[in-house]
Amino acid sequence: MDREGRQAHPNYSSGEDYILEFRSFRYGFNSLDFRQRVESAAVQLDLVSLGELTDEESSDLVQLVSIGSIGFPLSPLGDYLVDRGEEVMRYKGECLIYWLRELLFRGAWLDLRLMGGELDVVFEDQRGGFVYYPTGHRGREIGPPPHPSWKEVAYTRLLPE
Amino acid sequence: MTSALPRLRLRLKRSVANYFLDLCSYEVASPSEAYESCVHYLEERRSRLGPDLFRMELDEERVRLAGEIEQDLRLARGSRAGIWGQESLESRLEECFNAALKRLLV
Repeated sequence: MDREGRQAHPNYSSGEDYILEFRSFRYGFNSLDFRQRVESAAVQLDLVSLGELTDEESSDLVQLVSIGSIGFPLSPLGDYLVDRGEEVMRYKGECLIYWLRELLFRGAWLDLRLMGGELDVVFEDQRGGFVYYPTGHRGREIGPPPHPSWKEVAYTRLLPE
Repeated sequence: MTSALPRLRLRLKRSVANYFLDLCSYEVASPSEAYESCVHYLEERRSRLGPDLFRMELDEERVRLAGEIEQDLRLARGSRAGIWGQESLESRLEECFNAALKRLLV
């Protein structure tokens, strides 16, 4: 897409530390925002459990999503992803990096529309999560895209003996 | 190390080509690796050439690189591949150069 086309769409921006692009959209993130969104995407894919990551583990995931690989793992999670290789990175034919970026990007897309007043969001107790829907159309829920799960090859931190 | 510059240049070409291909696909693209490899290459090039010659030859090097990356992609993907016309490879490489120069100047 040319530069003019890219500027025709509103873009999410919390900073310029990391950039993600899809078609005419160019989203910019500050480091903290990007890290939180990466962690959230990894949880959604069942790769890790909620609230379980250390700083080093988050850094490895950030590296994976931004660079597309983990050159020098900083944590056991990084070691796990490198050691297991294709078994996890291409689990059942699904690309982990693709899905992490996809869910991260979609989350920012939803937040941008929420800030623009196009969407409302409520917390659903039963599901334990937020649900988005177009403003004034409560029945038309906008859920996350159907996505694969990494549950069977999820990372679990080994507890010290 | 005498082989550093060609190695860094090759890495830059590969990462920009990958970034460009991602942009032309249905995947979410990240320029981080292309930016990073551009920083490393231009940093090394500046230290070899000195700041004045580095600046003087910057545009010429960028155009030459864009040509080489396009040639590589055409050889690998063919001229009929759907990637041509969607994005400007030269302006994407310019974006990488600008991001790298911004970081080098900080």
